[in-house]
Amino acid sequence: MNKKERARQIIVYAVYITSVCCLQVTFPDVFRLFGRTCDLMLVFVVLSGYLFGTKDGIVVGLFVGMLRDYFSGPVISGINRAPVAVLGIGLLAFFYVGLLSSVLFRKRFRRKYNQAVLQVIFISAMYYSLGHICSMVYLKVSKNIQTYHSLKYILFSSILPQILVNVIAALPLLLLLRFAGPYKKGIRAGLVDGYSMEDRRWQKI
Amino acid sequence: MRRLFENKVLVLVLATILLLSFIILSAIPGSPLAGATKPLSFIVDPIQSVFQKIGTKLSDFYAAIADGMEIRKENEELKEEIAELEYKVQQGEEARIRWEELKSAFQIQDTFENYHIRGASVLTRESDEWFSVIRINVGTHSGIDTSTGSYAVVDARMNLVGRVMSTDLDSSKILPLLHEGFTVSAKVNEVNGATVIVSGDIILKNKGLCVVSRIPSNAVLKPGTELVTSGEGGLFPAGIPIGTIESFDDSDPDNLKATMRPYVSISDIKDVFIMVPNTEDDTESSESQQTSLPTPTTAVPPESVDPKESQAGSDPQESGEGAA
Repeated sequence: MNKKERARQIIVYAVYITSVCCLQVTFPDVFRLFGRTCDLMLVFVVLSGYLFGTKDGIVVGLFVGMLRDYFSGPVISGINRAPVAVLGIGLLAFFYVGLLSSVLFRKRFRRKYNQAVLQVIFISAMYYSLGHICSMVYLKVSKNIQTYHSLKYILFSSILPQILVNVIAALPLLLLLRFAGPYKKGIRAGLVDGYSMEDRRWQKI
Repeated sequence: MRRLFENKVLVLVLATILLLSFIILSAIPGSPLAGATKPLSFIVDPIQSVFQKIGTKLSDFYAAIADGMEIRKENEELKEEIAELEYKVQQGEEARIRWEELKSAFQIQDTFENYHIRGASVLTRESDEWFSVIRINVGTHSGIDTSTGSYAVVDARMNLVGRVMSTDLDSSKILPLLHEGFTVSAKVNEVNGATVIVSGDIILKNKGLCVVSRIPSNAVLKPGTELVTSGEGGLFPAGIPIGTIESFDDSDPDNLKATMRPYVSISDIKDVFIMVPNTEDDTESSESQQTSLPTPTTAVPPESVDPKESQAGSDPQESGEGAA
């Protein structure tokens, strides 16, 4: 990667990361559908990891996670039982989102653009399911709260509508990364993932 | 060493441990990591403000076009209303002067006179169900510093919104009333009203409700009953309206429970007000202003109450206030 390509990569990622994060938390109502706000941050990290590999996925994930923590970090009980806005949960969660989206189904999906939506569906389902499980366990362990959302609510009012709005958000982001992304023609040249790119089936729309 | 770092699993485990330690350290009160976002705020806050301004201008522009005709009509009506209101203001001013005289004479303490109010705009809202604190545009530069304590946050009608959790240079994080980590000691807004605990609840949050617990066994909370902050715990001054009772469950007499609908609609608020306790200097200056005002000869100036003194001895944890 020459200097020009490196500069493009850094500038484009910086602009997209700040824009996506700021837009989601500043105008949540604009991105609200079916009672859920599109998780632009999550979708952007998934697509970056899926299309451009592990390194990009992790780095983008860490930056987006840091901004998520900064803007609206989760609150837990601190050591003195007073609520504390902790830092690092977003970092950790999005580090894994970036990593998993670049690794999972790599052979099967071959980073093709039309199958990126499937990756968004899969990672969104995983993220929100794990989020509910962690939240339930945390409430039980730290506050001894035994009640939690019903399975029906979690499935039909939380996870499924969220997946749907994330898929809708994925389409414009996918086009942006393809035609105005960090790499020329939307293809990261050095990314071979140990498989041959000679069959030209990788990253084709 | 290089070989060690070539092992991807090991790197992954190390990164996870590092991030987990970061989370644990940031949860410790007074940890230097709590201020780790300050340099970030220096870069991110101005960018975020630009986004907010652009968004506001766009929505204002759209609203100006859409509402143009309506505004013209409304403008004419408002002009008439202004004339009426100006007359009322004159009457109100006279009443205010009379009130000030009576207040001094009877030593009535204004509930919030030991606080000054600082306005702020909401910058960011929740990202998802778990990343759900609100960020506002005042921070340590504006004199808001949570290292010495937390602050109550209210809306334009003085209804409780939440509390300030942490501050950066030009922004602060607010824990909203509906969040499951939020707790406040409240009382029924009646003479000798029952004292209860109002807290956020993960299930009720989606319906815009809070849970009311620790209800005395002899208390009956009818729907519509107003709850205000009790002042116990010292975190929130007494008398801030919180909301009204939505439902009351007395099926278990040992564990009476109720739900409360807050007055404030968290998703709609754009501006909030932080109640900052007056420092000794502020109290002295306000006292000197009061003494310079003409007061009746029988009047005794109200005693200055140091909020720190009033808070001393009242542990927020004892009353459950602010505890997650």
